[in-house]
This record gives sequence, C-alpha cells and structure tokens, in this order.
Amino acid sequence: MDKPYIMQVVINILITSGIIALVALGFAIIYQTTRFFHFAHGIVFTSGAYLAFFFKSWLGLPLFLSILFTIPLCIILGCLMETSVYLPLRNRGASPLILLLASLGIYIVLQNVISMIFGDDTKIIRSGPVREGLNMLGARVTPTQIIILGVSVALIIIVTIFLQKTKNGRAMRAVANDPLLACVSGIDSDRVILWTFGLGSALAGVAGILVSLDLDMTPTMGMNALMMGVVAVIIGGVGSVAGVALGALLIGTVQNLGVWYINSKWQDAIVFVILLAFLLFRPEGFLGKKVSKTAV
Amino acid sequence: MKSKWAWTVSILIVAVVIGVWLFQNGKKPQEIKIGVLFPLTGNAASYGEKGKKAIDMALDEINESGGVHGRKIVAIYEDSRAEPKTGVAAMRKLVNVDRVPAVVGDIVSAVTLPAAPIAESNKVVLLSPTSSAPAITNAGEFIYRIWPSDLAEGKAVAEFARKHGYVRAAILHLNNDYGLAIAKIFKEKFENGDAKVVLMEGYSKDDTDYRSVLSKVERVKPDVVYVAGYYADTAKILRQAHELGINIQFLGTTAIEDDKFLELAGNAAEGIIYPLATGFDPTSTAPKTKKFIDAFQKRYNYQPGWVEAQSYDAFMLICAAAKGSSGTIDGPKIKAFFDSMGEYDGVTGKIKFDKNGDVVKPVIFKTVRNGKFEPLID
Repeated sequence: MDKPYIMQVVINILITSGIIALVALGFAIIYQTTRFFHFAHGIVFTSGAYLAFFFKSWLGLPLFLSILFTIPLCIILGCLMETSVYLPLRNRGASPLILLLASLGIYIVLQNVISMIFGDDTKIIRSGPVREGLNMLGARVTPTQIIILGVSVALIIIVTIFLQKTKNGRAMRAVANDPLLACVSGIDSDRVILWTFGLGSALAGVAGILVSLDLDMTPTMGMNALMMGVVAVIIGGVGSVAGVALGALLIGTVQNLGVWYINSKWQDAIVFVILLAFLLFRPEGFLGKKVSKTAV
Repeated sequence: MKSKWAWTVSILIVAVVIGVWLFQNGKKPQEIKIGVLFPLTGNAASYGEKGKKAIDMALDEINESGGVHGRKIVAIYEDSRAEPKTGVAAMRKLVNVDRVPAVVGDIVSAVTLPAAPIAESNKVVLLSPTSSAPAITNAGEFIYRIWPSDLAEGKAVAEFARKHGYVRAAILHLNNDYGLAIAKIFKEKFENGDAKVVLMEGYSKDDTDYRSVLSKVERVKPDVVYVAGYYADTAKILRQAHELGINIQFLGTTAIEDDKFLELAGNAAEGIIYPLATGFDPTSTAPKTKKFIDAFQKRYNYQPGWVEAQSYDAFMLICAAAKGSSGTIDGPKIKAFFDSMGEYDGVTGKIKFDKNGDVVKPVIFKTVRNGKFEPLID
C-alpha cells in the first residue's frame, strides 16, 4: 500500500469499526442477560436515524435538540419491546427460539412502519454544502467523522466503567453470569433486563444517529448494521467489552482491506468467511472463556 | 327433477355463450383490437395507470377522427401486475382469446422478456414503450421497443470519453444486471490503443460507505471515473469523493437525472457528465408534442411525463401501422410496416427501428451546473 493512502485506510477502518462497536456493544449487553438474539436491535438503530430526521426536518428543530429528544425515545422503544413482548413471552416460558422469532417480527413490522411514514428512498439529515474533509496526516476526515470516532470511543469507555463500577452495572453482570444465583442474592432480574434494554437501545440509537449524519438513511439500514454487530460479538466473545471492541475493529479492518486488496463487491462476504472461521476454530471468540455448559 | 333443471340451465348457458360469440364475431370485422399489457395493480401500478390514461386519450383521438380504414380501434387491457407469471398468463389471453395482431407492453422489462416468446411464436407484434433491458434486443423478430437499451448509454459514454481524450478510466458499477451490463459495454467500447480501463469495481445496492474504494480509485490515477449506477448510490459516491478531495472528472448514467439526486449530492454533483437519449421533452415546442401536452393537461388536469408520452407513441405507432396496411390486419403486416417505415414523428421525438427492433435515438450529453441539469456545452 502506498504511503499517502495508509492513513486514509486506517481512518476509514476506525470509523467503520466505531459504528460496528456501538451496535455490537448494545447487542452484547442485551444478549448477555437475556440469552436470545434481539434482532429488533437493528430497528432501534434505524429508528435513531429516522427520529432525529423527524425532529430536525419535519419539526424544524435544531440538530442538537433533535438528537437530545431522539436518544430517550430510542431507550423507551427498546424498553417497550421488553415489557410488551419479551417479558410476557418469557413469563410463559418461551424458548430463545420463540423470542428470536418474536424479535424478527418486531423488526419487520417496525421497518415497514418506517417505510410507510418516511418512504423507501434515501433521506438526508445533514445540511449545508458538501465540503472537502480536513487534512490529517495525509488523510481526509470530515468533522462528522471525527465526532463519530470520539463518541464511539467515549461510549465504549463509559460502558466499561458502568459495568465494572456501578451497582446496576454489576447487577447486569451478575444476571448475565448466573440468573438463578443473582435471583437468590436478591437481584430483581426482570428489572435488570429492562435496564440492559435501555442501555443497549441507547447505544443503538446513538449509532443510528451518527451513521445518518455521515451516510444518510434508508429504512433497511438496520439489518446490515445489526449483522456486522452480531458478527463482531461472536468474534469478540460475549461478555467482554474489550472483546466486542476488538471484534468490531477486526471486522472494520477486514471490510476496508478487502475493498483495497480484493474487490469492493466481496466486502460483506469476507466478513462472513471470518465469522465461519471463528465459529469453527475459536467459537468462544477472541477474549471469551471456554464454557462447558451450553449457554444458549 | 334435479337433472331436468341442470339440463335447462346448461342449455341456457350454452345458448348464451353461442349467442355472445356470434354477436362478437358479427361485430369483429368492424373493430381492430389492440392488446395492452400494463401493470395496472401491484408495485408498478402507478406507471401502468399513467400509461393507460395516455392510451385512452389516443383511442378517443383515433376513433373521433374516423378510426382506421373506417374501423373502430379497441384497446384490450390486461393487468401484468409487473410480475412475470401474471404477465405471461395475460399475454396468452391476449394472443389466444382476443387474437390481437399487436400488443403494447410491458412497461417493465421483467414482464416484456417472458412475454416475448409468446408474441414471437404466434407472430404477434410486441411493442414496449419503456423497457430498457439489454436482453430485449435479441428477444425476437416481432419484439420492438421505443425506449433505448441500457447498453446504448454505456456505448455512448465510452465514445464520449474517447472523443474527449480520456485514456485512463475507472469504473464503479452497481453489481446487478443493469450496472454490470453497461460497465461491460463501456469497457469494451472504451479500450482501444492507449485507452484503458484501469480499475473496475462493483458495489452492492445496500453499500453506503465508498471511501475505501474511492481511495483505491484515487491511487490508480484515472483521468475519468464512470459510475454505472442509480441516482442514490451515484450521489453518495460523488459526495464522499468530494469530501476526500478527489478531483477527477465523473461520468454518470441517465438514471441520475432526478431531483433527489441533486438533493442527495448537493454541490458535489456539479460537473458530472451523463448521457440522455432524446425522448419526451415537456418543454418542447414541436407542434405534435405541444398538442399532446395541452390535450393531456386539459383532459386529466396534470402534465404528462415520460410514461404517458411513451405509451401514447407506442399505441399510435401500432395504429399508424394498421393504417399503413390493407386487408386483414395481422402481426406480420404490422412488423413489415415497422421494418420499412423509416422515421416516425412521435410526441417523444423521431422514432426509427434498427434491425433488432430497437429504437435509434440521438444521444445528447448533460451536466449539473449551479444545481441544475443542463445541456453540456463543449
């Protein structure tokens, strides 16, 4: 690779990875405590983008306020899914497969609702002329991309601290490790799960807003983002923030280097080849610990 | 008792059917039936509805002026729902039951293609107003269209690039039938002597981040980049190229001429060059076109667009072919007329068919200047 382009590709990798990491982290937090594939996580991501668009373009609010209103709504959306669909199903003893199907249902319904309200075409939230990016060590970076990088790194650090140091964070990890034991020691696991949905959905919403600022939005944007996030979680290993972040970094790298060395049409295929390799040879992920009992 | 009733009813039904058949047959010599295969419901229904309006208007115009050789023209509409399966069944009905000599349709290539063999084997002319798929070129002797093949634009852009002295081209194409076909024809027509395609990259329709592939483009230092895609992806590519500070001439497809393109790409759209096969021009002052627009506006209270104009021309062309032949009007006679008619003056401009039944249209080049689509001035 020629020198001037190394920086550019590195920057591209970091930005792609940042977004994947946010989606993956939210997904992992929810997966860890509930042990099912929360597909509808992808639609919370999409909703983040469209809610911000709604406040800014339809109601004419400033961008900052739009974002401020959007994040709590994403949290509410995630929590509503838990209280109105997953919790009743769990109380009836539904298996993870049933929960997965239910979440897929939520995803499809909400994606169609978004299509109906906003249309299928690309919507843009940014305004003003398109400017050349700032020159950073030979690479071009737009202010939006710098914000994406900053916010992703900050959120990863905050979530790590939250899980390690706060009471709620520790309760989440306790439920994740052993729901029964957590229950015995007086932790209300339903309340903790609700917390994880709130936290996870906030992360997805933020990621959706960030992506829409940089790359615009379509109603189907959530599925691809979710897929990459899920792969990052599997590669990184559930249960460790650092692992998920590393997984996201690996996927971002593979995607961008794949474009560089092979062809852009193989971008997604390469990611799934890596996923298969991990599933076959290191199913516990980068930093995951081998577990003897079947977790799912 | 029961069987007696059944008998009476069956005899009555048979009598009615025979009566209707005789009545229709008796009327037959006075009418010329023309089939119309349009998506009247389903995903592309809005196109079908628009086209139907234009054909209804054409019908009234023809019949008010005395029809063709004193015979009334009747349009038989069949709904394809823009689905191959439904379209094929509808086409069979038009050919076998209504026995039409010619069919206008379909709007979408996905139905025109499977309907073509039915037209071909029954010697019925199939004239598509808007299908652009390259495969229609070789779909059969009886298959015609008045919308240029997608390949025509790839070829025109390649010739344009060579004429303007570009020698190193990079191609970014949408990885589907459309993007791949025009990228290939561009490469084929562009490469000659010094002129080379130095990079050809496909992207999927869900991709949104083109930065890495654009860096790759920048590295091979092309003097022109051809983006073979639709408006949304082309807009994103231009915007990201601008953000990356890439300053190379971009070429695009006809598909980018859409207001959404200007909205998505913003100032990054400035300077892109794309081809446009001359067709319906709503601002035209040509008497025939103007008369069509005014009459349509009066009748339906809105300005006709390309679907309306193309459908109108397709239907009128078949009527002209019927007028130009004598005796029983059948498929081979209409085909013979199309093959020998030379230039037909339609509301979408001059129409002429080549030996494959594809329309030959002059191509102009346009660009984006000050946020507007404008003709390119060399």
